Amino acid sequence: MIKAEKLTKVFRTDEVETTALNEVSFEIHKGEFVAIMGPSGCGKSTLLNILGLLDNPSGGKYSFLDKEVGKSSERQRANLRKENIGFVFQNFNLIDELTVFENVELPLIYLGMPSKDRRKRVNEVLEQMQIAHRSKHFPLQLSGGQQQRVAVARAVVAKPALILADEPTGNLDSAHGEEVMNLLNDLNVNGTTIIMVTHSQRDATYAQRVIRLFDGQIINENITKNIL
Amino acid sequence: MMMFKYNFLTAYRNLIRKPGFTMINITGLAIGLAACLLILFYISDELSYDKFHSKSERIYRLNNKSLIGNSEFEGTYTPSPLAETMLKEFPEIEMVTRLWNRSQRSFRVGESTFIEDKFFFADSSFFEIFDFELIEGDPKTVLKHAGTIVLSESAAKKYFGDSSPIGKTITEDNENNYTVTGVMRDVPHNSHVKPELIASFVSDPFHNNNNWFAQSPQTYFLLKEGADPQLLEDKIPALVEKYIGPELVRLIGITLEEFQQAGQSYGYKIRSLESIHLHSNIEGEYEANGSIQHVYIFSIIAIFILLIACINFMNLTTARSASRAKEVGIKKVLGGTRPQLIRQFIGESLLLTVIAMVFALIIIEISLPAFNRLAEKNLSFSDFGMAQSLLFIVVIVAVTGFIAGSYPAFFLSAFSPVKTIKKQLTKSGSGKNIKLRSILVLFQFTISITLLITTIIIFMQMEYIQQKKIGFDSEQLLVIKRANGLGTSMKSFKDKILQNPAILNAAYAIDLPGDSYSSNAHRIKGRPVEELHVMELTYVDPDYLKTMGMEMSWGRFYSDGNATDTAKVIINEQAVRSLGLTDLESEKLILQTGTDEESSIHDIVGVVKDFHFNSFHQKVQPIAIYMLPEGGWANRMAVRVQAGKTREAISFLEESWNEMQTGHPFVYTFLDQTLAKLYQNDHKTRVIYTIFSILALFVASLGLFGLTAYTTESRTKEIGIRKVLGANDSTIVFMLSRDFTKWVLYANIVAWPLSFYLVNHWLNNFAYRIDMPWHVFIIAGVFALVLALVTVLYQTIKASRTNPAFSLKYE
Repeated sequence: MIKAEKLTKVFRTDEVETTALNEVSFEIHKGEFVAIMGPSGCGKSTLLNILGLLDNPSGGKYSFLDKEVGKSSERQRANLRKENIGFVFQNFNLIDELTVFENVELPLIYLGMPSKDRRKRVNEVLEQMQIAHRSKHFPLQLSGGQQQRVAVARAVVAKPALILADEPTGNLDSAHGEEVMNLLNDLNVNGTTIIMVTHSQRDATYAQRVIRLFDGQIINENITKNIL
Repeated sequence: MMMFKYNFLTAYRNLIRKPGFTMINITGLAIGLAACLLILFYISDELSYDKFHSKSERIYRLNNKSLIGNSEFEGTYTPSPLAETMLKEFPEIEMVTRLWNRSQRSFRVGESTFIEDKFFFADSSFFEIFDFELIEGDPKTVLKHAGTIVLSESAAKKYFGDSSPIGKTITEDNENNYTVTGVMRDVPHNSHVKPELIASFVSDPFHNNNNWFAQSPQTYFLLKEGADPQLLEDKIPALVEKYIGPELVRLIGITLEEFQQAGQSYGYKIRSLESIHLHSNIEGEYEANGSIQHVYIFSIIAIFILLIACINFMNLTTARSASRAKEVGIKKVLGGTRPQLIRQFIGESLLLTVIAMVFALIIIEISLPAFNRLAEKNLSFSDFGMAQSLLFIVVIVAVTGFIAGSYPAFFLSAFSPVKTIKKQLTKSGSGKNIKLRSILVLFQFTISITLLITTIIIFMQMEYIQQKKIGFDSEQLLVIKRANGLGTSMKSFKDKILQNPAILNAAYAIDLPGDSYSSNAHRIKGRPVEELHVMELTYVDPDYLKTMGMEMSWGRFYSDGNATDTAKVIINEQAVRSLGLTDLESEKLILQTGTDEESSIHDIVGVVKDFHFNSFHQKVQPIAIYMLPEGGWANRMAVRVQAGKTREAISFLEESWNEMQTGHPFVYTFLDQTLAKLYQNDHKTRVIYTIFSILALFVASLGLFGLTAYTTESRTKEIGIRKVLGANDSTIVFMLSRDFTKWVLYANIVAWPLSFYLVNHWLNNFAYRIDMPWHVFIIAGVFALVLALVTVLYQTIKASRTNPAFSLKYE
């Protein structure tokens, strides 16, 4: 599903040149649950942005669904994103001015789904995430755990093949964190590919494989499911 | 459609959630829109003059344009035979009509008598050329016969009440009877001439006057369809040659050619009806016309105020971009495209503009009566019709919404999703943005300061005019109109009123300052005929000088009981200069009404100090003041009344007037009020200008206030850190205030030369003007600076007092 070959990302400002990713190569197959770990500044988020088609690499090849996308335009990337990728962020990134229902509905609108189907699908997902009773509330009226459930609902509502989660439990207490991890796990069991950036060793145990990054390079790849 | 609902919802909730931001934007935009609409209405009214006539595009007026001696003359008066001659000579003319305003006539029906200023004679074609609507009467025939008259609806009501006046009689000056043949709807306010009583031209005893040099009625003509007005105008000199040439030879013994060779000219120009109100301001206009320059100036001001309000929106929206950045980022992550986001933001600004427009309409509804009073207009929405008003409104909303929203839309929608969701954007935007915002503030204040400077200087000039020594004392001076209504009782009336101690002096005169004086050619005896000078002239009685409070600079004034004084003349200092007189004792002045033998020759006995009998826009003209013979026809009586006893004097005057049984009503005005009318247009301009410059400053300050609020908020953390490191409140206030106010300082540098140019241009319109008041530039600059400081200080002091522990946690 995903194939990275010698991915490089260099950030330049007037004075400094920082190499965030240095020739990273790996492959992720459909249905996998992969965790990316590493200390702050190792390039995790940069990698996730490139994988999520939010950013282009400076060098190397990136093929997504067997297509080379490393040099796509923002418009092409936006189209691929909305059809195939769902995002979950550490800080939830819900739109404060929209209700829970409207937030979850948004990706379907961008996909052009008819109104009736949308309503049905959103309600379905909200039920699944056990947040339906809050559908008319605004994000700021919810607890952190509830907000992240909404964010997960929004990520999966369009039934994407891939979910990218950037420290999904980072802003949650352990009980709520576990709830969210269970949701992701369920999705994975039902066939969704998940790539998750995390600091938490515990969250990483949900993944089948861990990619460890240090200074922009992969230092270790291991299978965790086998350990469990 | 769904997208629209979403954008609308986000926009709406965004507005609700940031009430301060929303209020500043809506207030600014509402004021800007209201000002813009008011000005648009004003301008559209000015442009609508005389266009209600269906043939307005083919109607023209003739203007007399001549250069005699060294005085140039342009006026609306034309000789009586001109109209018929034009019709006869020029086949491209379909119809002609003369229109002659005779003011100050008294009309009587039964016991009710009124003095009418808007009484006119017009030829029978009048109602066919112009579309003044007749409620009763046939346009083709109402003015056909002598002794017929058409009344306006209100005049008919005034004289005849609710009964139909058709066939009834109305008496003018106690001797001429007119039969009412028609009633016309009251003339719309946007007509350059507003007659209330129109009698047939053939009723006038002088209608057959064949004098080509007596400039009396106005001449209007209707051009045939497709005819070229320019070609017609080009043929006029030949007509002048043919008809006026021989008259010239007969009167002063030289041919037109010789006359022209001496560098003089005499002829007629055409002026299209539609252009009269805004482009013509010559001798003999029916009312103080508008000016196309004011239309331009006000249009520019309207655009500027709206632009200032738009800039507020741009600045505030981009300044608080951080709070919208997340939304942009998420929408992009979820697959939203840039065009979608641009549409959303422009939609938001349109929504805000629509809301602002609602408030603007409320503001207009409330302020329109006051605006009308100040601008001396009678504007209302209904005047423009629903469709046109709506079109105005929709176009303005669309343009404003787009201008205000475009920059923020392109700016916000360009945010990279990676940066926004990672919160890598600084709170107030990038350095480039801060610079752009500052430049926009510079622009706003440049406009505001320019408006401020020009307003103050306009005020100073007007003040100067009102206080300048006008050469006579206009206060406590009463003018009795239609004094000739006294007939043979003129002397006894004057003797009687002077017995009252509240009345200090009184004098009869044909014209008083503020009236339009007649003029005639004059020549110094013994000089060649080419040295004709057109001089204004008037007739006054011997008490004129002391009643008016004028002074002599040489010789004597007329004396009572000296009948030979009617053969003398008194001129003003300007006349001495323009005639080039050196030996006043021996020179004689010819009042050239024909050949030298036919004309009267006068000894110069005195020179009166220059006094302003016209507006200060014009230089004092040379004038010849003749003595009014005993019992002579005088239109006016000037009465000097003791201060504090005005009321008493007026009732005594009225009582005495009625005792004389003139049959005419007693009508008076105060001279200072009449003179104020000369500056009506200036006054209007000044008032409108002041209102809009204050509004502009207010809207600009509002924007600065909002901008400071957001920028200060975004620097809360910086302020906290500075305070932790030891900065005190005043250093912080200074630091924050400096950033904003320096742009206002720069705005002065741009505004000063700009204002200088504009003001200088305006002042040059006046024959008597103030010197450039440099201190006003400084005052306006300092004022704007102080205003900006006060605006900014509130925010900065608030920010500097914040507890640093709080400011640091804030991020």
